[in-house]
Amino acid sequence: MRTQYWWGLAGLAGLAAATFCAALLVGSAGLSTGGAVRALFGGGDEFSRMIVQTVRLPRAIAGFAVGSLLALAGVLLQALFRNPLADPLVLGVSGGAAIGALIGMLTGAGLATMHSYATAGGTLVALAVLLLARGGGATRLLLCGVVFASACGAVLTVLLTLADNGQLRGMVFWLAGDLSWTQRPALLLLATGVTLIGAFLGGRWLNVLGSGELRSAIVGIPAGSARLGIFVVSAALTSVAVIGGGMIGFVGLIAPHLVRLGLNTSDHRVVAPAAALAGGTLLCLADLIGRTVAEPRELPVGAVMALIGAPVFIVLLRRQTR
Amino acid sequence: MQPGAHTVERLSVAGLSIVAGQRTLLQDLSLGLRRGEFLAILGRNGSGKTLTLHALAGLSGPHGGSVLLDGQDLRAMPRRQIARRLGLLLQDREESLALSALESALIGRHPHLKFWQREAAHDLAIAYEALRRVGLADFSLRSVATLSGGEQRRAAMASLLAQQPQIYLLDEPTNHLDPHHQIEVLEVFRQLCREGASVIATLHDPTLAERYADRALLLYGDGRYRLGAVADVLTSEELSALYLTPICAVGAPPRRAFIAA
Repeated sequence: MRTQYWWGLAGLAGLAAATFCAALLVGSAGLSTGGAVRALFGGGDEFSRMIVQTVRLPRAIAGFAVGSLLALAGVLLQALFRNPLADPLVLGVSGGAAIGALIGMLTGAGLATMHSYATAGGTLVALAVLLLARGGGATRLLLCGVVFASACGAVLTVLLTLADNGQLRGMVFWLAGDLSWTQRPALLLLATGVTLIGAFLGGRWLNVLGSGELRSAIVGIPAGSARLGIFVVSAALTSVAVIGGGMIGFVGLIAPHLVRLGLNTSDHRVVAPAAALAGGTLLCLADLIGRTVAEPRELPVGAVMALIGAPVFIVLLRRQTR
Repeated sequence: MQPGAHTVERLSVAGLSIVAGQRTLLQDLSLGLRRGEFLAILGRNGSGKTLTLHALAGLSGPHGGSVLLDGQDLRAMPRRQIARRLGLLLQDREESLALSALESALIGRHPHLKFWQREAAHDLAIAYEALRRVGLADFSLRSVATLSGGEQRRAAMASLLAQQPQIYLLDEPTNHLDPHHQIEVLEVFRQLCREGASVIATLHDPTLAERYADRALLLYGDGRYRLGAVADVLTSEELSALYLTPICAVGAPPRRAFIAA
């Protein structure tokens, strides 16, 4: 790999680390920077320790991991569909997971039950999309995903109207992306790590797939099984991310583009890890902004992400067409 | 021809039929492709040339009949194993993510690399040599999408050359190419035949077919076909019947030119 890519990755890692530290040190609890640092390493008073270690740290990890997972899912889907507009949320899987989660909230189930409902919802929709798209090409798969995504959107609206006022607020927040519900962020980080290693090792394979379905078949990758494999992996990544942080758009779309343009390569062995770092950083940053800019109120991270993401994406598109 | 080591068939086709929609384009084709042989496929638009090539590559199932690659049924072979022995130049460029000409050529190395393996210096050397052979040595870092139509065509050829199969299936290799490059790329494949490869190419120019092919397969698009040595099959009568338009031959074999009258 060329050294310029290593520098690019190192720069992104530096940015990620800086954002991560900022997410630990800045917040609405009124801690001083020094106090937050002491609390992180087990010093300071109990309140500071509680804020830094059980509120900010898991949330920063969750933000980073969810952003990375969505970015990786985006990289996979853009390679599969050879379409720069593919985004994890268009698959319909996230909608299914969200329906599961809302049903969990409606029935007043605990967090763990809600997560298993969300997993079931995501899996069911993924299976339905696969079944309906069977025998067709990548376009049919994409179309089935889009149709299911909008159908899920309708079901979500119905579920929201069924909720009482007390539940409604939490639901709307969760739908707009909310990292404060996250359980076991370490598990999310583990999923990110495993996927990253997979993407790095299988990056050349993704390059081949991105060159076209027939061409892939000619050099030895059967289109059907490649499509199935990528769909299942990206559906799983999206489900895990949605369960971790709600419906967060734009990261999966933008992060791969940012790194392709920034590093000027489309080699997935560079793009995948770089997009994961960029996606994690972006979401961590969006969450940091969301919970500080209007304190003591919190803005949903998905909304902040979209507010940052939309103009960035438009600028990128303008640059690309020139 | 007597059976012997040099006549062993690489690709054996028996009873192959091609059906598109309700129409039977090709019925009961039997064909053996030998080492070092160059076979041209000619026919009108829509006569099933591309579908035949795809069936020979195992991309679309033959509608009846069988294709054997080195004696093995193509349908029972893993794609990767097929890819090491047989390559196909597609008629059109597929929609793809942005790639440089070098990255595109390296795609051809895929069947020779293990899942986790990176391209070694050896693979890079093969890819560069492939680009050089099609006259794109100075374009290796250019994005394929920014190249001209003819250059994109040659970039796709470089990827096929880097794949280093024994059988090259070429779907209209001269598409988009100027006369100079038409001759140049066909010379490349003729040279590969001399080195022991086998080539099947669909062509629209009987003149080029006579110049480069050993045998020609004429597809009439209604199920009938005619297969024979170029000197026997490429006559003004045969070609006029094939293209449903008068074609006259100028000059003497093996350097005749065919002109639509």
